[in-house]
Amino acid sequence: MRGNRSVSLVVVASLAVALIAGCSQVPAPAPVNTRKADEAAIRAAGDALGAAFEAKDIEKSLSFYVDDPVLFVPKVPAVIGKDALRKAFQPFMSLPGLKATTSDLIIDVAQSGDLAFERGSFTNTITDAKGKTTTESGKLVIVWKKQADGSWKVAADTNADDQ
Amino acid sequence: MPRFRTLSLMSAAMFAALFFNACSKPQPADNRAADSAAVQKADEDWSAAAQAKQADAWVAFYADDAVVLPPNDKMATNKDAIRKTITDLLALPGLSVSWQTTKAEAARSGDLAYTYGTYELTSDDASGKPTSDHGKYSEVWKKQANGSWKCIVDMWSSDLRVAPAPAPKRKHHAEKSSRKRRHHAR
Repeated sequence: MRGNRSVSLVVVASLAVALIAGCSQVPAPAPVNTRKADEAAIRAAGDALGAAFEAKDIEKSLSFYVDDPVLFVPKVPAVIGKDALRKAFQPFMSLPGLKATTSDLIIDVAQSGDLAFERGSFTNTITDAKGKTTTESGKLVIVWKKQADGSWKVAADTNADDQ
Repeated sequence: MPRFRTLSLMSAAMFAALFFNACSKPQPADNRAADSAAVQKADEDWSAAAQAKQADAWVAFYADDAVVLPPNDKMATNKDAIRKTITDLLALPGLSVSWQTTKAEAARSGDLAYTYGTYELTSDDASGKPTSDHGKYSEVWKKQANGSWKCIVDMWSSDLRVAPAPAPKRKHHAEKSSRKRRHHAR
């Protein structure tokens, strides 16, 4: 009888150890911090979007947006949906000698790696046929969303000018 | 003897149950709906608080590390600059300003969220005539240590091609140039 009690105590104790060890070793599935990698992926996607834009490749540019994006630019109402973005991009891309650059970009990724925000500055320069340049600068805020395939796409592309 | 065997089997089963309960939770609870609703409420409360037209009530919605990106001006990156931006905005003669949230969405981890929506703003022009402006805004929110949501990025721009003529004190919403229409930042 005594012997049996010890056996059950041993069983209980070893299970308790297993429980504690098991819990502390399993690195709680969620906190795999991918923020650094996410930030790098967002920077790369932003650069690729900028390059597609400068190359006046509308479809490639649009491929960096989610299916239901919004675009907020000064002096026009909110542009909602991919078709509307396509229409909005066309005249902008046809500006003569367009150079669009961004700087001071700061990216903040949610711990869960599903949402991220980017803010910074932009400068757009256009050069007309006579070589006259016009420059506009401003601020941008972009909402990025991780897609099912792991890629990052723009959900909201918003900006305001400095002038 | 059989009785004790039963007992130890029972304890084993109990611990196994505890173990699975504590350790095999695949993910933290999904609070996105509640977090998104809380952010939307904070944004709505903000618009309501703005009706008092007091800078203190307005800037209370910003986190300590917030930045404000107003149109036609440089970004405000510290508390003093933000207060000045908001004080100037609130000083517009005959001001009336409000906004409506179109979308609020939080990250799964509940630490970051964004909102966007539309605003309406009326103020008097130089001749004292009320003029109206409307536009859209985007905001990023961060959950604070006490569980509340505060705005860390606030940006807006007018929908109007040429904004109403500025009143003398008006610094942040008018001063529209007649520059070529620009469509995209990148």
